[in-house]
Amino acid sequence: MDLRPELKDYYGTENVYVCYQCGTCTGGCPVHRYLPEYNVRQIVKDIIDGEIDLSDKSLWYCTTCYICYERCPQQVKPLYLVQAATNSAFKKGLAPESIKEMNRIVLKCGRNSEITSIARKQRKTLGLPELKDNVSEDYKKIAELTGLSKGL
Amino acid sequence: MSYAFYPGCVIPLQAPNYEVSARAVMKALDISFIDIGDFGCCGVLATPLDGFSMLTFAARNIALAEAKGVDIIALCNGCFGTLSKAYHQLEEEETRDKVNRILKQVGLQVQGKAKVYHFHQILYDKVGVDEIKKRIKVDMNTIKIGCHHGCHILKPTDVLQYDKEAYPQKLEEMVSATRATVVPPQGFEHCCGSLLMPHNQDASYAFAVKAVEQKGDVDAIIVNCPGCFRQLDLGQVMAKRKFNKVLSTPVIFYTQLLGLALGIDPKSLGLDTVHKIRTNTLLQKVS
Repeated sequence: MDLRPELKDYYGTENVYVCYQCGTCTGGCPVHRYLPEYNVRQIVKDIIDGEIDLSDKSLWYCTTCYICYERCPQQVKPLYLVQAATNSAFKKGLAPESIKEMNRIVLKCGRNSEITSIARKQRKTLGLPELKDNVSEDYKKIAELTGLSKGL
Repeated sequence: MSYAFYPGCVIPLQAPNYEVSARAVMKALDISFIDIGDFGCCGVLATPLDGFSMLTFAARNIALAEAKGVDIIALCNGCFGTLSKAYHQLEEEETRDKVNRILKQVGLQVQGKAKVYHFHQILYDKVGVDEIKKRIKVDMNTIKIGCHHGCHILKPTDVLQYDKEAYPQKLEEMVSATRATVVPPQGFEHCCGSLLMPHNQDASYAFAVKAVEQKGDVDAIIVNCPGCFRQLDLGQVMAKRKFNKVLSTPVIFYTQLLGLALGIDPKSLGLDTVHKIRTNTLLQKVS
């Protein structure tokens, strides 16, 4: 699919067209070493060519280590282009269930997970302050206003 | 100067050893702070789905600190990275207005006044290595340390402006201040693989195992982030199951090492809580 018309809506994507495909990003990418199907250089190329496959599961493998961002000689910020692609995939209903579930938990309790009885006990033993079950309703309200909830 | 203590959401539940040791060190070094009970997820989990939601969640936390007139001390690399990126984005008026239109609905406004620090920045830049040296009561010169910085305390360097992307040195200097020996890593692998976990467990643990192996022969590996902690600590248990490798290097937070050097007892630093790789061997060497 052609992501180019949407790119202006995503943070840090303004330098996309100066990429000259040197491959420094993929060369430094730790994910690529273990999972060669994740190829940042190819993702940037596919975006520039207007033919990125948003249903490709490997788009989600980025660990956000920022090595591609730091080393790109053209300041293309490849990591933010990958995030533009996953954000767009989410809008089209193509996000992995695991990532959506983590976000549903955040909206429910304001944390990445609910408090377990073990965690409560450990905190008590260490003399740490007690925690509220749910941080705040703000997360749910904000997610409704930004449209995040709709896709979950 | 007081700060808002920002433990995030992973540390209080999964790394209370970090929280308790950070609180103990802050007390010992007279760093005054307040707790804000409404602080929650920094927003990082929304990043792959919706960058604007990440920004607004982060801005909500910044706004809570602003309302109290204090800057933020984050313990987790992930929170530090996310809140700092948000702070940077909020400098743009148009973005700030867009975020504030939403925050208004939950009774908050953000101006971008509350600064965001990692606890290590406070230790390095505000307390200082020389002052840390002066406060040391227990010499750590019997132990060898490998440093695992993690990604989001360093990068993106243009936004975080803390230390260099490659061959960072500030953590090493702070470890040396306790008189422990710093062993340079044999390789360049700062990513723990934590965020790969939902997609590919084996690859995720392979990152962690490599990070541990690269530290070589050390008595402990220092981390500054609960994600890195879980990966490198639990990862060594999983290494046996997944890759038939036996690894058993204790993984501790800098605040735990510093706490020991400041004379705080190991129990009060959470050194017997949560750790899958037990810290006994390390503690024996210290005493």
